[in-house]
Amino acid sequence: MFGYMGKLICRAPAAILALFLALTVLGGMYSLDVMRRLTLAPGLEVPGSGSAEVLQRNRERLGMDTTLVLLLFSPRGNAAIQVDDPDYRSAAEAVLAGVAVSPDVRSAHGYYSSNDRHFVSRNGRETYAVLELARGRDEGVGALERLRPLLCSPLLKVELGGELPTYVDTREQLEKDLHKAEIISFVSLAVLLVWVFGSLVAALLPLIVSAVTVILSLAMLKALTPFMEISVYSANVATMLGLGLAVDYGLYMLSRFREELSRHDGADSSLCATLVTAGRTIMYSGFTVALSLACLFLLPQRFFQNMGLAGAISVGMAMLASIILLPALLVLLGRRVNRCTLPWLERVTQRRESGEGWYRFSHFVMRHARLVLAATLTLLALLGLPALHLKVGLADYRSLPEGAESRRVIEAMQTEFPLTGLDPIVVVAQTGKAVRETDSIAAIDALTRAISALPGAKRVVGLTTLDAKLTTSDYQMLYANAEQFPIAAQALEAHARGDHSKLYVFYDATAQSEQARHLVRQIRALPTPPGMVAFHVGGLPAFHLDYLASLRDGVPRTIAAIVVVIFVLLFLMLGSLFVPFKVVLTNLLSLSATYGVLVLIFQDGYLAGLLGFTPPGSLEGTVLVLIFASAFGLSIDYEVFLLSRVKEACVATGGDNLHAVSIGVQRSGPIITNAAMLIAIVLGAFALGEVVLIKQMGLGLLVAVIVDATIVRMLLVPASLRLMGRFNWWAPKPLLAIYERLNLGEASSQPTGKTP
Amino acid sequence: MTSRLLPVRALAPVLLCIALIPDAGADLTLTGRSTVMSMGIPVIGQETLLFKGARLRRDVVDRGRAYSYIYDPAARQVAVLDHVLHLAEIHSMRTLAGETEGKINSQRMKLTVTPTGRTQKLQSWNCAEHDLSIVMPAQLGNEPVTLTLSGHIWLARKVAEQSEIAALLKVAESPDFFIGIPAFARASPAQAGAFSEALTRIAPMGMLCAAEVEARYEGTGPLVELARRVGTRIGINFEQFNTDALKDESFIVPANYRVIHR
Repeated sequence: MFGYMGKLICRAPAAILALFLALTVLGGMYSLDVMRRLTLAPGLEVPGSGSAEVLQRNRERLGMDTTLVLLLFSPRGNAAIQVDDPDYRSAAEAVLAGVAVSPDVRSAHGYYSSNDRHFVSRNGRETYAVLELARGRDEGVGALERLRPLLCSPLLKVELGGELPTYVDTREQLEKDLHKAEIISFVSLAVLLVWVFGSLVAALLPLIVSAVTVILSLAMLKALTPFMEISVYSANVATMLGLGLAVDYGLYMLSRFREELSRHDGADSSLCATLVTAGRTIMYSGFTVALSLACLFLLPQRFFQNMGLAGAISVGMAMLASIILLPALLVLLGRRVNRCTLPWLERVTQRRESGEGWYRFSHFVMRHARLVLAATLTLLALLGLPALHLKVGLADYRSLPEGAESRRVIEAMQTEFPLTGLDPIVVVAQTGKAVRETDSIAAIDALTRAISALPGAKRVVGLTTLDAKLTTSDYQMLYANAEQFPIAAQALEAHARGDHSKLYVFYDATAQSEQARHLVRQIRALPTPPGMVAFHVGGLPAFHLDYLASLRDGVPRTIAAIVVVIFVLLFLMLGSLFVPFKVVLTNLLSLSATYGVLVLIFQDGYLAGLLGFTPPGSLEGTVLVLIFASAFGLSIDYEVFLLSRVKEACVATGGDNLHAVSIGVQRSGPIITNAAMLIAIVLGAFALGEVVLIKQMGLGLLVAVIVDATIVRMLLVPASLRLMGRFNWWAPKPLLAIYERLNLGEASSQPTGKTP
Repeated sequence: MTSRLLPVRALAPVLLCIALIPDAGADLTLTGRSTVMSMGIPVIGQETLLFKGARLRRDVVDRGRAYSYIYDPAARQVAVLDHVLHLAEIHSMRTLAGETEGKINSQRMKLTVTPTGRTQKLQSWNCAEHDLSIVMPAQLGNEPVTLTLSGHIWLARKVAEQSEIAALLKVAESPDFFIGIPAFARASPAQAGAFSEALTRIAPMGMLCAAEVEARYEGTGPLVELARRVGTRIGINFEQFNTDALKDESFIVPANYRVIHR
């Protein structure tokens, strides 16, 4: 297939180039507004869970799709005024009156509308108001942006806090971080590519492939938006993975082409040989990475499915651009690919590309295979040891830099105010009859009293908590005659519609705490009172509980699927059972080492000062899953580069294992090192971000790449291949028959002799 | 006929309207707060009254939502603006007045206003405290009850600013004039009528600086018993006034509002 494809490309390279140019221009124009088409809701809810049910019923049955936003008032400068001073009050009320005309604000309450001292800080200088903001399809982001300009006062500083502002601040910081990372990585890549190839023309080609990959991936994402909800974070993943993998693939193809140029007379035959070998390897690698990312679809959350989709799309696009567009460019350029050589770099590049050092190094490793294997396994185990006390958590305000407004507000709330109740547990109950009916009120009151009796519940607010002196029958009469009692009508308006009503449960702990999650479990364990169809428990603590439970259930299944996919694809590529098994094992070791390092840095806080972040005390579950899928994919990438060359050499040398491994390491070593270095630049740039989430992701992948390209690929793999000898390529006969019949194995462009 | 207990948002403006008693002049703005306490839960709203000639505008911020009531005696209409929905409901004063007419027997309403001798200041105004008692027959659900409003009001007598609202006071004398909350008048015409009556009687006494009133129901039914336990207190407290010129635009429905005629 690749030979035929090579001929086709050689026949019409200009047409292919024109086609890609047209696609890229059209794709670029089409995807200009891609960010507006992507949804701002990350999609982390677990479908079918209690917390997701509460969100949905809140929106659809109760018509209360709102989110709470805190306005923290404090005097500007050192003004010595207190919240009870008339000027302070007037200034705060003026701000609240200003937002009261906003269609996005559903309600507002605070100290000045309730006289409740809970809204006043211990030093009496700060107070806060809680705004109920319409969430809408954009999670309330638009509403918050429209609100900001209304929040100004010459006397008071007004700051925003809560879940939504934290989310918005995180997004804004992420955008800045990503923009900075993209610029740094693109410039660094350009410089490094020149250093790697020693030629300006050659250096430009992987960058072209990267740019085309990113543009086409974004266009593809936009094209899918009418059919499914896709989160904005997908664009970031598509950019990061697309950029990294396109450079990797471009580098691999280009290196092989330059190698083949030295063996063949013309560009056409060099290209065909490149496609048959490197092209096939890239296709395998691409399929493996894309399919392992697609395994994220096994997790129920749309967020992971979006990430899997974006990853698979970007890998697919990188693969297509590398095996179709790049070859067309190579045919057109021919030997001119080495033009614009920098003389002072030429000798360094030639020596590096010859791989002589790699050949000698691999011989050294294989001569001391047992020792190297033991040492590397010990090192990986030591690095992975901290992962044994890994704690999975969820990102909170501490993910933001210390100066971020929403973080300052939450910190002030926690230290200065007696009880904030920012993220209550929300219970939505469905009664057998309309809420105002006596049976329904009795059921709601029974549930309210049961929840109030739980040890962790500090305060419950609902239809039957207006006054502790009122009995169940009082509430039944009150709501049966609600039009006579405005306070009852107001409570119904605030808490009920039709046969649905809701309760807020406040607790004395943070939303992310185990105490809060324990309270959710306790509420869920309560029996459904007579007269009630069902009740669902949501709110932030319930979401955390459901989210972590879904990871516990879904992640092992996803990991198993990724392992199976990789095992099958590598078998089809290499015709061996041992090698895929070894690949999976070494990748797991490499990942455990990565997680170990992440635990040391982000959970235990080592290097936190140096890297400039507050240790969150746990690792973000989302990031761990994404690192697993991406790092596994990248590791496979390098493994495929190496093993394809080893297998190629093995076929060419008639099964000389020692020589084949040395040739494989010699040929792939420089490419893997360069590729790792390039991708490390991209990931390192992301690790410079201010948001701890992206720092974890960037640093985690960076560590994974470094561990993989050094300890695993340079030491562990050659040593293990040497020790297993001929058994490396063993497979049971029936499986071998399948492998040979499918004929998907590695091809050799020509017999490979000893290089040094 | 049913009447609403605790016309929470309705009682407050009725008390506020006491402020528009005296006679003619230019513009006046009064700003303050209203508090309604029921079941021990206070709900505090921001209140602003704007007087220009015979026109009155009341701006309310109630738990984060802003509303305005524009009373235009010349057009004989009341506009209720919901600033969040950009919606204006136009009510005819004549219709509203007609609905309350005959529903209240003014002979049976007892109003007592007695000075206590205590005073408090509102800028240049010297506000005299009075004991207030209004007793009127009403109905709660199907139960006949007696509604009693008792407490204190603070009135500023013979202040210069009274002249600023004389024009409005004059038109208020006409039989088809209505001042109050239209929705309340439709739901509880008897009580709305009674409040208007009370207002008329208190009006000549002075400008309202503040009021604190408790509402109580007397009767024998279970709803009355519940109402007694729920309890309601209403307070109005003006903190500032000024006579700055007001723009005419404040007294017309904004152009971008959807208008519904009731």
